[in-house]
Amino acid sequence: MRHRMVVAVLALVGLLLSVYLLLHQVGLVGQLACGSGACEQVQSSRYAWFLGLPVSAVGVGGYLAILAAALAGLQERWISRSGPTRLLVLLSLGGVLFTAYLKYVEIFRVHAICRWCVASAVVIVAILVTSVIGLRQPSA
Amino acid sequence: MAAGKSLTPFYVALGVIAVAGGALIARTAMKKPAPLTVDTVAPLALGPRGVVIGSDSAPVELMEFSDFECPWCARYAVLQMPDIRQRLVPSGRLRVRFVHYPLNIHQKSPWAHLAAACANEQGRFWAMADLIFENQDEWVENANPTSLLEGYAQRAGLDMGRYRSCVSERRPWGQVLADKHLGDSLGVTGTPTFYVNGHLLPDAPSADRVAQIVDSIAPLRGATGVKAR
Repeated sequence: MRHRMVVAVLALVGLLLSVYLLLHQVGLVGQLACGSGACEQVQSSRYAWFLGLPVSAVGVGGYLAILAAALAGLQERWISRSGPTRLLVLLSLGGVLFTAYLKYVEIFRVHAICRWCVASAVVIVAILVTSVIGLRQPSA
Repeated sequence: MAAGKSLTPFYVALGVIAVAGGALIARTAMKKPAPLTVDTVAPLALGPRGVVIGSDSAPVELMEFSDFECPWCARYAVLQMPDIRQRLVPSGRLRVRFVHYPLNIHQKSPWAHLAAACANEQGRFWAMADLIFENQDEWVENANPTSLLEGYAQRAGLDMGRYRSCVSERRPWGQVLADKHLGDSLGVTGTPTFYVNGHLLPDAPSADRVAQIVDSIAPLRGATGVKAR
């Protein structure tokens, strides 16, 4: 149960990070610009969009899904089942792969590293590690 | 498990994190930019840099450092600039100066700036710039943007023989670089960057905001004639 609680907290942190980046991307937080500030540079490059959606919106959706799965896994009906943990592993694995793609783009295409994006990467990796640990526990 | 009871502290902690994070974001979002003060005297000696539309005697000048591959520049060009040019420039109270600022991170941008500068040789800069921004997604994603840019040049009504020779000889490239150099010397670090009468604006002003600025500086003070250079 504890790993799902940890995942829920991490997912909430990731969600807040993504919301902040999304608000920035749509111009509600700070200045919109293409520039030499690393976060601005990443956020305003064309790679900040994925399949017509802002990358941060993808992050919001992903973290919401993880948060929902983790909270659902804490409910009495699901607490002793491994299904929610498996789902968490699946979701966070997708998140890590997507993050790996974004890191590649940041380093090799945009040539800038956004610290908020790095924070999100750390969060999603931590979620995956926690979920895998949870999966190996007999109670999961 | 006794979920309701044992999980209450956890839910409370989760709520506290959510509220604290939300408050932090809201605080950042509501932070107001520094108040803008402008006067009618241009403190920058710009020389002939950039491309200008509007009267020489217009009391207000909006100068934009812009990159054709920058998504926010395109958004501004499509959503705000037409309104600014139609509403404020013809009255003679505002002139707009476009200054080339191709960012190093954008690999195809130089071709677009060269194409627009070549259009400027034929007095068709603004028509060409509009087409380049409107079709940004198309040429940026294309492996060979020059052929698409040629299509825009044709649609902008350019003499294609002159355009092609201009592009192949890269005649106005020095002007583009000089514009970029001006931006560097002013400390421009990103695009779009705006100045009003030489004063740096904290962000990209909407057309309504520009109208407010113009009204505050030059309330219906007349200057005549619209000239695009």
